[in-house]
Amino acid sequence: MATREAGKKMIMLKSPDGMEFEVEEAVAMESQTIRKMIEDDCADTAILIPNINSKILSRVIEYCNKHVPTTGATGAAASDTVAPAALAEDLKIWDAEFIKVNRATRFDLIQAASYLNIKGLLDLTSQTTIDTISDNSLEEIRSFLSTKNDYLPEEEQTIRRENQWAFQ
Amino acid sequence: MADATSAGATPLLPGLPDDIVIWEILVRLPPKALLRSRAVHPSWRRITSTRDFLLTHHARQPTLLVASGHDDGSGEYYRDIIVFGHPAAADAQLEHFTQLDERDCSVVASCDGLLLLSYETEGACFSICNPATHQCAPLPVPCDLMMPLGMYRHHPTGEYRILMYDKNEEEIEGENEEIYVRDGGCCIFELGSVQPSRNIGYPPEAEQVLSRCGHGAVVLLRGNMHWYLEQRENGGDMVLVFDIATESFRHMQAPVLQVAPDCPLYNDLFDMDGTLGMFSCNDDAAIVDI
Repeated sequence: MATREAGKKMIMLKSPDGMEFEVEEAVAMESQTIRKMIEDDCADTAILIPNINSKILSRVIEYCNKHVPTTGATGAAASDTVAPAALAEDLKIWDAEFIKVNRATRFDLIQAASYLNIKGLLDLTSQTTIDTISDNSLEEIRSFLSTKNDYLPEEEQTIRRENQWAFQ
Repeated sequence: MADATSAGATPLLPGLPDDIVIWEILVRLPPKALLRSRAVHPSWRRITSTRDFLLTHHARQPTLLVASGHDDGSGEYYRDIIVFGHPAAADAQLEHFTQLDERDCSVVASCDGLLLLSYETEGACFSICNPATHQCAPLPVPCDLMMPLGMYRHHPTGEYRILMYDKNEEEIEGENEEIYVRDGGCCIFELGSVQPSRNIGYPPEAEQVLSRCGHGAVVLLRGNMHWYLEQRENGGDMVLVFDIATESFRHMQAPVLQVAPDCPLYNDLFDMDGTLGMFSCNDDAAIVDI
């Protein structure tokens, strides 16, 4: 990692459990939160990322590395050599692999993406939960939430009536 | 991190802070799933019914075009409201969202994704409709006497209000033998209110605005509603502006047209990404001014 060619500015990200990650500035700037810190000159050489442990932070960096707009050594866009459609397809497959994690990790990634303000990662990580809520029955959603049905039967009927279209 | 923001004891979704559940997960639900989710738990219902939530959710929905058309296939005059699906979709999906076939119905105003519908039936009525959720609610307004000019959200209070023009200037006899006296003028009706509408006086142009109703003439922009007024004897065309915060009328000079004045023109206003524009058209040409 330390032997990158000159010209690429490196940023040090620190997790609260003491790990340090050296990343290219462009990669770190995938996070709007970090971008703002850099632009406001709040970042010297190292940025402490609170609340995100090294395990999650390394995965976030992995995502940003993959999604940073790629530029070749000469600065020419990589899309000169690779068709954009193929690139997008490749990213999609990569994303699908990336998100195959357990629920706790996924929730940690949602929180990290929200704090660091990485839109693509937030879309990706929250979509699984959105699909769960959209595609499952009320009982399945409740068990996903590990909550019980706190409605009286007549209350639930009223809500079903008020929102009739949604239950068709 | 997992401190409950508003729900108190039980988090909305164990393992995630409520803020993230509300503003990152629930606002991304498609409308149907969102309505259904209200039946999951009382806390979900409460959260997804707040005004802030609904406005944020609405802002994330794709813009839909609404067309009102008619189909007289079986000899009768029908009117359907059609909501165009995602404009980006390859083939325009048409979604008939109401079964209004029996009634003659038209869209008269819209605001924040709500439609104000008018039914031309006996004892006719207005209703408020949200095409995204397929929900409709009738309005307690006597409509054979009232013409809506526009619908807006009153920013100081956050209430949805309808600006109406009261056509009646005479005494009329009410159902309960009461006599209502109406002055004729513009009234404001608050949605969700049982209060009678409020009369705010009579700008002379209201009649003219009314005559243009149905041309889609109102433009809601930057806290004002705008109508285009036809050429007046003493000079250029004017734009009538209704300030939503103060609920008062004022005038604005309309752009000067670059065409020969003897051409019969149809002029109107439109909103283009937050800029008020005006277009003119006649048989030969269409001109757009911004």
